[in-house]
Amino acid sequence: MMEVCSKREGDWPELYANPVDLGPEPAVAVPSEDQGRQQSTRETARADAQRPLRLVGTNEISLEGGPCAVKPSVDGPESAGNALGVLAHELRNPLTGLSGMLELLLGSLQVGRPAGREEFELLETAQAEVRRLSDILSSVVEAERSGLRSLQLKCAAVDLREIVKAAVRPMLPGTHPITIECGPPGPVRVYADRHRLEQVFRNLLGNAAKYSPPASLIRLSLRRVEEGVLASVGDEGVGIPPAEAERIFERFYRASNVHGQDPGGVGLGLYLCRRIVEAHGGRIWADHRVGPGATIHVLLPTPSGDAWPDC
Amino acid sequence: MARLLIADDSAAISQLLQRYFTRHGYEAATVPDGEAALALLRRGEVPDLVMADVTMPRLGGGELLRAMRADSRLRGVPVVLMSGADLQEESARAYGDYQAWMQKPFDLQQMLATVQRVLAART
Repeated sequence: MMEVCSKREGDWPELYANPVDLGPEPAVAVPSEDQGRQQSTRETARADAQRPLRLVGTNEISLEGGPCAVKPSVDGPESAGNALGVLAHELRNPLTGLSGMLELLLGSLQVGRPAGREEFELLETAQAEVRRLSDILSSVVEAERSGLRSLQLKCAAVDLREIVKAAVRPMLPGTHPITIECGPPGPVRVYADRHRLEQVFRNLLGNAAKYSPPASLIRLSLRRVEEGVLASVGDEGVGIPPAEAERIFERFYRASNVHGQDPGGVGLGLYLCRRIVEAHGGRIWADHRVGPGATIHVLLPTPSGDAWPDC
Repeated sequence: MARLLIADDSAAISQLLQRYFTRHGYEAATVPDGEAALALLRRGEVPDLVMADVTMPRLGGGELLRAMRADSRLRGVPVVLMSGADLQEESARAYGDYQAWMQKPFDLQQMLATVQRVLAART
């Protein structure tokens, strides 16, 4: 039976005032046509989880090579030039839009004549493009600060429940009800970098809120599985096209069904989540199903028996 | 009235081009990716010119160009490729012959002049 965390348990913020028992263990929804791919993902996750814990004896992991190296991104070599090219490409789209809107406005506005509806629409779109430019720059700076190229972890034995609570706290109260199911009683211990994992869950919860209807439910569950601890964040939003379930974790990739909806996304958040989770020896993946709703799963390995690293 | 098909995953750019070309007497339809463009073209709705962004989800402008050049009914439709990326112009030739290349960000007047030139060369 799932334990549903509630405000009564302690320092839960007002946001969780109405926890909902979501019944039996959440299933990992997989449409039949994607069974093979999902199986492959799980097998990879299992293989990752069965590897010797990589963090013993060190509290730092380099992404750049060696036995602890994380697989390179599927989007090709991550040279500085390539990253710059991708960034330039991302910036040119809103610049094109902005430049064009202003060109249209200059061609239609006349001194002494009040602006019409079309002009206001153009100005609104131009303003959205400026916001997008600003958000792209913010995302890039944030990603850079978070160490896209060299992710250093400071790992310790931590309670994943506490990390999840901390990730939920900054979310705006009243925007979305959030329920948290905690399968295992007591602390959910993992060996991890607390701040990095908090960043992962903040990102996943932020995406869930961003791509869901106002006031819709966001579900976060933690449960022990054979390979470790499985955390899942589910929403009732636009979902993820099955063919893009892997690609959304690529750098600068944005799902095709969110284009035009969100001027703020640039496609770095999930990429960064993947880097962080994989640096922990874990796996992150999305349910392969068409909406409504998306669920992102994070599998974190736990040391077996008494093999907890000295922290 | 010349008919244009605009394929770009940026809704702002699609709408901008549609608005601008409509204002200049063209009929312009928009689609969010190459797949949608190809579906429309294969349904028989063949425009006088296709403007396609090179980088789009599902099917990019290069792949769209290749599919069009392989289709006898679409082979003659002029294509203007648009891109925000660097150094794609030459590699795009591998997909097939396109009539013009527009590097983003571009001026609308520049785009209009290009479309007019390509359409004039066709006739």
